[in-house]
Amino acid sequence: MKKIWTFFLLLVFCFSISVPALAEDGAGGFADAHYRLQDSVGVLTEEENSEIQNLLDETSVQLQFDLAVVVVDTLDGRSAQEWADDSFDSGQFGYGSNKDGALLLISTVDRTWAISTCGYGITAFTDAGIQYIGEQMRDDLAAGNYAEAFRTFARQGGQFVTMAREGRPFDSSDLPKKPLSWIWLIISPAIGFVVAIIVVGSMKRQLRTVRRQAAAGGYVREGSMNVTESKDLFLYHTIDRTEKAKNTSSGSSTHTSSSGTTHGGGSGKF
Amino acid sequence: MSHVQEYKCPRCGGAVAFDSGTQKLKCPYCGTEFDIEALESYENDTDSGQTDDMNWETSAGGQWQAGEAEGLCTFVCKSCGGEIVGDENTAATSCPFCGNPVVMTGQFSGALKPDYIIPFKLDKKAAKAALQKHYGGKRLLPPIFRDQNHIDEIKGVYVPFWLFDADAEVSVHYKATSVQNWSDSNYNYTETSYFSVSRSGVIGFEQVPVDGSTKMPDDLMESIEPFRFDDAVEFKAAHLAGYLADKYDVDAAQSTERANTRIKRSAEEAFASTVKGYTSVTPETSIVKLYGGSAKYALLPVWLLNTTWNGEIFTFAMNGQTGKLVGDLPVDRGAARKWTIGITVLCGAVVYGLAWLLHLAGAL
Repeated sequence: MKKIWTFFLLLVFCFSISVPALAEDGAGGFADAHYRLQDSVGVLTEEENSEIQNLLDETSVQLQFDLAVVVVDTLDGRSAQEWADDSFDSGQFGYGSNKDGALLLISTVDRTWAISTCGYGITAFTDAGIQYIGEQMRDDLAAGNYAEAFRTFARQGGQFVTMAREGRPFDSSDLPKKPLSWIWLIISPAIGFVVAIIVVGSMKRQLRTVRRQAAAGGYVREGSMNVTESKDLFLYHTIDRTEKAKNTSSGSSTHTSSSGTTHGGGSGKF
Repeated sequence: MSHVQEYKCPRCGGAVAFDSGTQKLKCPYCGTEFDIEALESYENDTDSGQTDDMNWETSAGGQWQAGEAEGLCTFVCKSCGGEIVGDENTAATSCPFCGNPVVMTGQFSGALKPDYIIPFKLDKKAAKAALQKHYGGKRLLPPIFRDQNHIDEIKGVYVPFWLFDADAEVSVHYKATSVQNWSDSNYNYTETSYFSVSRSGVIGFEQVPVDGSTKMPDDLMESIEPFRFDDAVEFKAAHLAGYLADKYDVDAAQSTERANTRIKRSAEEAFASTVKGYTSVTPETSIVKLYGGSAKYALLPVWLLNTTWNGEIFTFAMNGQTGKLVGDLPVDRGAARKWTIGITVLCGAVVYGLAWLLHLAGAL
């Protein structure tokens, strides 16, 4: 009897570690088949697999926010974003009634990544933030160093959620500054040279005071000008129309997945 | 055979036709519509076939009275051939134009008597002071030019000018546009309205001066303008005492071309200034007709200062009435190069710094 109780308690403990969102509010039902790391292609070694699995689980439990990774070989012609959204929905990821979470999908054949966000994930993972994570992972993904890329996703994703909860989601203004383009090393002296030519040109003009008079404005007899006829005739008009440039916005854009859930997200190649 | 009136489209030049639907004239090529009255008036205005008419009465100058020119004598420059007039007490030794020695050829004779003269108001000292002021504040003037500079000679010369008076009848046509911008949520709109603008009227000019001496560079003489005619007095040979006078060698009739150019330009500018409220104004045709154009022969006071530097003669001229001094100065090429490099480096560094600041602020 004691053994049965121990087994039962262990089961409850495992359950609370692996899918705590479901354990906590009971919404959505049990989904033990849908681990937070699903590597159907086998890009990770066994050690890596369990390490990443633990990392995702721990971070998710700690933040009460699901972070999941799905690796597939081919997308079968579907878009990576659709596939990621469907993986999120079918995996029943997401904490609470809003399904707070983010899922990273990797297609090893199509060399594509996509992130699908839901619930609070839409707030925490802004469009700029998603592209920033993609940028951070790209080199590792391209080199086949998937474990490191997933660590980056877990670490960075966790940070995004923390930042959002502090009231300031990671957005375009937080993107690290790239160094100033080298083109300025050419533009700056060129502008300097143009200014120098203008200034020195005006200094040279000071030395030249002999020039012909173009007109005889100084010799107009005072009060002699009289406009006797003045006609302003409208002929025709033309109207040109140009489309307004769309403003680049910050924040998160959303779309609806095939199951009708609202998702945020973004994708890229590696 | 009946005459068919054909109107051309002011926009593309195609033949326009009457459009019964809109009851307007419409260009079949560019699709622009016009009011019949507007196009009719435009055609009449731009197709007047008139040309400039700028004729002058150029019998300026008078004849010398017996004995009037007795005290005058003529000097000729052996180098440039310039002929200068002075009174018999003037000890002219060098040519005011080229600096070479002159010889007295004896009694003055020939040429017309000037109608007017503006006597010198400023003396030699004022001319020297004006030259020193002229050197000031010019960073690219070689310091050695300023320091070593000594004026070879300063001469007060009465320069022959033809002064032209005329009333001008002006008729100018412009094509003008007025641009308005507005926008809605999706588009920016630019409406350009085209107008045919015409102005006619009269304007009078008096004492427009034209240099009557080929020895005096025209640009130098035009640079020291204006001369105020208020100080002009009837010419008396006595005014020449102590000064030199140049004899005219370009007559009034030859000088009218220059006067016409300047008068036409000024007349056009004056009438263009009455076309207001448009975004752009382009003159299409302008016709200037002169009435009562007459010329006077006058001697105007000019101080000429010559200096030689590096084998080159630099001539300065000062208006003997107003004190305006002009004259081109040499450029210190070394200093110009240093300034160019210095400003390039400094400005380049400032621009690069600003670019970094803007980059860090997220604007670049």
